[in-house]
Amino acid sequence: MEKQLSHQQSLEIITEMIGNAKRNLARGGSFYFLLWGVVVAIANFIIYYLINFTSTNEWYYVWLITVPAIVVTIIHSRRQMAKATTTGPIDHLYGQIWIGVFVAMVITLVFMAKINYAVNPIMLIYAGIGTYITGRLSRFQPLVIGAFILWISSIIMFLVPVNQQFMVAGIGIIAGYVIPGFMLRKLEK
Amino acid sequence: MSKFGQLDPLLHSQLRLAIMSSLISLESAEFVYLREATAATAGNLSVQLDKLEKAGYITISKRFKGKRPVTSCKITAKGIKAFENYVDTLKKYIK
Repeated sequence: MEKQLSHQQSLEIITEMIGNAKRNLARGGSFYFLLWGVVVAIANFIIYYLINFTSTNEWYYVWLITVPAIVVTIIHSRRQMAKATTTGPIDHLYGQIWIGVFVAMVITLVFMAKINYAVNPIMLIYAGIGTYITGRLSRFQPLVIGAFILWISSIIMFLVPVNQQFMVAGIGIIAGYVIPGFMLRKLEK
Repeated sequence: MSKFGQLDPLLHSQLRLAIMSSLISLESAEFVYLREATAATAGNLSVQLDKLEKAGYITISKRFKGKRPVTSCKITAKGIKAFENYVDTLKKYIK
């Protein structure tokens, strides 16, 4: 039979085998899902209210609440990087995926006049891509499901009148982004 | 010693622990990779993989890469949980 392992030997085997390629479940990732999910969902609900129940035309200023969210994201990610004692190749990838998503969103927003301002569903498609890859990489199924919810929401948004899109987006983001974010947070603890 | 709970006997073995530690950080690993990583003999590795598969900790699939048959292993959700429990228990012993 095999020889009995000491605890120290067990630990050495694990550390050696895992090495630096340790699969990390996007630790701390829930912060971003919750932050952005809540901010964007609230923005959508406010805009829905403003468009449907007030006469204001300046509803797009609501999007300015994403500016502090960007600042918080940058500060938080810097702090996390400084705190981390180990990072694997995948850890960097998470950030890079979302930088890619962010760049795609900015380009779309800058040229929204060229695409008839139909940016809302497209934003959800982008967010879905980031969520899908994050979910697959971390093997966290709720995020993968969340991605499909975001994509389905975007399809619905293309089909409903513009003034209804914001409600669909708000609900889609809560279901596809905030709820998986909460589940991830629970897992991190 | 038992006040911390038992270490999973299925994982508390040099080769099986090495296999599981490899698989936890990979999407899937081929038999050849595992044999090199663990420096085990093919026969012994097969036996241990079989035990892990029977416990539901890994899945083993065989397919063809061209004409060459390839065996690849994947850790399951149950396997991940078992591995994490093992590490948690181990931590308590070492503290």
